[in-house]
Amino acid sequence: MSVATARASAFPIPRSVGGAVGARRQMAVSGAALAVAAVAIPALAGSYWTFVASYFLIYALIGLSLILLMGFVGQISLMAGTVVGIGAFTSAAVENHFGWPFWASVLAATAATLPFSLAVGFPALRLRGLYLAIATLAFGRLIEELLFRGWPWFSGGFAGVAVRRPSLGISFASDARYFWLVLAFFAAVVAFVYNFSRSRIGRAMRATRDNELAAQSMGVNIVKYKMMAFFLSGAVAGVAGALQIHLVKSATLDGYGFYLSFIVFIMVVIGGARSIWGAVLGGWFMIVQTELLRGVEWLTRYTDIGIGVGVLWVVLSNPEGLAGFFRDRWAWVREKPRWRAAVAALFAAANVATFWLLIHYGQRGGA
Amino acid sequence: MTGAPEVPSPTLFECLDVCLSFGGLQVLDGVSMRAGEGEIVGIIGPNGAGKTTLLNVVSGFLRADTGRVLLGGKDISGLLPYERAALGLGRTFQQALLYPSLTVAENLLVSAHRHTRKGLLSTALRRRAAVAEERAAAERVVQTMDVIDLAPYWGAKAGALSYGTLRMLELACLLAQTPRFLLLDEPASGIAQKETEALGPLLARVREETGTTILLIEHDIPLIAGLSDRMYAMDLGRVIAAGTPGQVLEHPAVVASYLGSKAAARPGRPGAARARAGRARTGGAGTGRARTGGAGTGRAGRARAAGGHPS
Repeated sequence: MSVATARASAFPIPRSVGGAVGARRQMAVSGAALAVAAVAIPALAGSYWTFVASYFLIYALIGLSLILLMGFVGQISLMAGTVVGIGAFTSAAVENHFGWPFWASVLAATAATLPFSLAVGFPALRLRGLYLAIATLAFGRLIEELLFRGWPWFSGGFAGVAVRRPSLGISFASDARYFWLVLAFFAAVVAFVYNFSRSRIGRAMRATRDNELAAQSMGVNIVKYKMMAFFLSGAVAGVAGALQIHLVKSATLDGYGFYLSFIVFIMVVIGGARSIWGAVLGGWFMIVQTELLRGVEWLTRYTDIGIGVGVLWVVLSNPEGLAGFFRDRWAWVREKPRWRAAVAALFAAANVATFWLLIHYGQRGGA
Repeated sequence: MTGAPEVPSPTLFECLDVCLSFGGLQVLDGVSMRAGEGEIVGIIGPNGAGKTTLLNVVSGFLRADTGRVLLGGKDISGLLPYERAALGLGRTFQQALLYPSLTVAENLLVSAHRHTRKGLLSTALRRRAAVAEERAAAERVVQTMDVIDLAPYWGAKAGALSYGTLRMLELACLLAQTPRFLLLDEPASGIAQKETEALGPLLARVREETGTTILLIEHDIPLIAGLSDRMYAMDLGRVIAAGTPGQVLEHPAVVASYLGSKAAARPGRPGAARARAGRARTGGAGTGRARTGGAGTGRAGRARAAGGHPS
């Protein structure tokens, strides 16, 4: 194993040790991938699929907000969709009622989630598992009733609210421009979470998740890290909400709340709650794939069944979801890269070809 | 092995007249102990004597009703467990308690948590100081590997390790934590005989290399007698004997309450006095309940140790 060779050198620090060590290459690779996506998707995919790509990134952010709780400190939440609603309605309200600019409204959306994180986080310190899930569900419903349904000034009532996409020097009104904006937010949030998750902060959170007693006896302030995770989760959901409402430009209160919480929960379970990749892969599975299959009429009725099968697959045999599955396949390829890489490439090409055929066979939205 | 030092080293740890009761049951009844810098102090006693409860009081998982706990002259009685850990108090539990989904390396890095300071923003933004701190922590972990050879398991999840390796990792974690004062609750429990034999020299080496003070609970009399500079014997929440291992093991009260017979006290007869029935005590209210039964099983265990064991 590489460990042995690493140990032989003067001061060996394997990549698995020391989160911040050796991250530069990964950052360069992901930066390049983002740059390619920024150019290629608007250029090649057309307006509709660029919209879908933005939608996917926003869902990945919402998934990430849940992963910060479920994967990092092991707290189940069934109110992610409600927090997204708080972010969305706050950004719309401050723009429409006070005339705040877009940047300020995103900040306001983030800040608005803080009191709710506090209100749910402190009771959550005493609750676990199913009981916490039910408590967050109830709290989410309460917010929906009081703030969304009960306060039309905030949520626009049943008529809904409308916002305009931002214009800051250059206009972000087109789907392609707005995709860049979403991509930039996505990259910033993921980099932020990725960096701290590989540092002492992320380790302390995962140690808290695995074993609170041991973490305390090693000097980890578990209350601090749980509350930090609640605040971060809320902030990410708030940003995602602000981005989402500006993407769809008008929204009603049905779009947020329990249904969205549930969708995101399933998305994270399928994608894998313990890794940032889980948000991306879950978003791909739930959003993009569903959208791709929508173009093919005879397949549409099966998408929900597909999601059900996905959940069963995770529950029965793959607790770490798609992220864990692909990590294991990646390890399999790395073991004997020469021929296994070819198998993987073939598999990937077959997938891409299938989706390409589906898009062009379906012809939805004039792609 | 070294016996009692001629001149007692300066006191690092002291607990003074610690009392704790669960309901009507006096679990700790005026316990006072001290440990000097660099000393290894052993605690023996039958099940239900209050040994683990005392460790929980010292590490902060339980609060004493009366009495004080001092570390380095500072009263830590009112501090939370993580605050005590940050002051350099480390402990193990009867069952190896680690982070199963973290790798061996990550487990060690979590243990070094108290040696790092950087916050959320500087780590998330990869500020230079935060990266340097991570690197330094990683280097310290690598050094730990030289003392306890866990290198082959480096990238493995702790949950995939064998129980013996897990206990070794637990010790390595304590090294990474570099506590000034280390509480060990039955480090030899549940591991194979061969690993038990390696444990004594390993702990001695830990003390030698880090200068840490160790307070140790163990039922393996040869192990604890060989390792300790001084020993305390407890029964029913009180200290019944204190002194060098020889003095304590010869003490009539210890022989009567715990060892069962003089012959059992002679080193080199492993397991003669392992009265280990009914050990379901880990903390909180459970301790109280277990003690109620524990006192009974403890006595039953003693009866068995005295009569049943060929000694």
